[in-house]
Amino acid sequence: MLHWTYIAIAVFIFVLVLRELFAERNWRNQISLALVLIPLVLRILHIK
Amino acid sequence: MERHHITALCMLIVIAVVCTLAGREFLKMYEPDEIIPGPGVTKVDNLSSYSGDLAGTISDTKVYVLDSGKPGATALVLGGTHPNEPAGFMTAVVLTEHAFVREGRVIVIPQVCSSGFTCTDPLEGYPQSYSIQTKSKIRSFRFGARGSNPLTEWPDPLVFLQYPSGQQLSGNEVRNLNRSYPGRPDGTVTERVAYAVMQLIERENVDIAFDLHEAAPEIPIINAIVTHEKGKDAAASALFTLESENLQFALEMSPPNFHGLSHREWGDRSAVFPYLMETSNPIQGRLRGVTNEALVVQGIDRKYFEAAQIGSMRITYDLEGEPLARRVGRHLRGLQALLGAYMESTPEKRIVVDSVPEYEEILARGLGDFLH
Repeated sequence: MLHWTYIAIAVFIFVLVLRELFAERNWRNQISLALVLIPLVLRILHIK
Repeated sequence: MERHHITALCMLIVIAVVCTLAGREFLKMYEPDEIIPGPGVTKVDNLSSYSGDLAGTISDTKVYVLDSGKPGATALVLGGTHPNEPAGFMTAVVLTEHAFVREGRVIVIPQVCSSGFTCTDPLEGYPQSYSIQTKSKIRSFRFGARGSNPLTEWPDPLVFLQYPSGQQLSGNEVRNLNRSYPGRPDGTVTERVAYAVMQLIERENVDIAFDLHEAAPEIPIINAIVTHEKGKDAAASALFTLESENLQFALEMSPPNFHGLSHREWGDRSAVFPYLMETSNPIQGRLRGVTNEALVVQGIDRKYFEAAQIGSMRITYDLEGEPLARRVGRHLRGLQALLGAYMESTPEKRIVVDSVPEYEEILARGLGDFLH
């Protein structure tokens, strides 16, 4: 159960960061947000 | 559409490409290693036969039985308790593919912590695999992590309370199989694997068991045999045999208050004589430089040579390094010596294993010569 709670938290953070990615106007900051998204995707998909 | 939305979409495409490329590499770690049972293998089973919860999970693993059909002792050999210690795993593979049991029975589990072979430890820069040239082809084997894959039981607790002792260990040790014995059927995935091993020991009436490990060259417990109190006489006898062959092993007693370890819990909770053996593995060390496949197989690291030159190492370390073949040879010879000493102490329970490469033989011919 705790495992899936953490996955749900990871999905929630993923959505928040994704929204920030589209709201952000500076492309350099967008790169930073993209770098945050990559491990979140891999963890949510149970790859790494 | 505004410009920053277009760049955001481009970022998403880059994220998808990176995740696909990285994901493919990571998922390769889930492809099982090829282990080809030799003529001595009479039965192939799964660890889940001893604890059903493991069936169908990445923590289930193959159990190879080499049965002579003649009465005698039963030995258990575990490799891959820590999948980042390849000599233990390769020793079990050599036994599975090459050994022949003439009296008694040998049960081999080459990848007992099988989920640990599906990932590497973070921040270590370990290679995902290493290759060995055999007579017929180049074979690749996964280099795993110290513990079970975090995805099987993520998140780790802040403090790991070992069951049933209540001993406190750092949180990530919850995935360390060699802190999880005796395990429990409804515990974490790692505890369930430990429970299955304990069940196997009980049900198969295992008399003598080996847990094969490696450690960093700078730590004190390397080139060592760790024994439970009840196995110390046989271990001391084996050490004399090994010393007479110019193979130095240190004899270490299992600490009575350090719970969860194979040599402690197997010995306390079953009739088995448990032994843990350690070789010296430079890729695990803090002094190491380039961390790659060559370091796994050849074990050559300049910094360890320099450390040995200034007397900072307990073992000898020269420019030939600590190759995997030598480490496997040490494990095999130590195992044979302990089996011999066990038979001396309990002559009614014989166990004779043939076709195990001698230490000098494996050094001269290479590890690949003893693999299919």
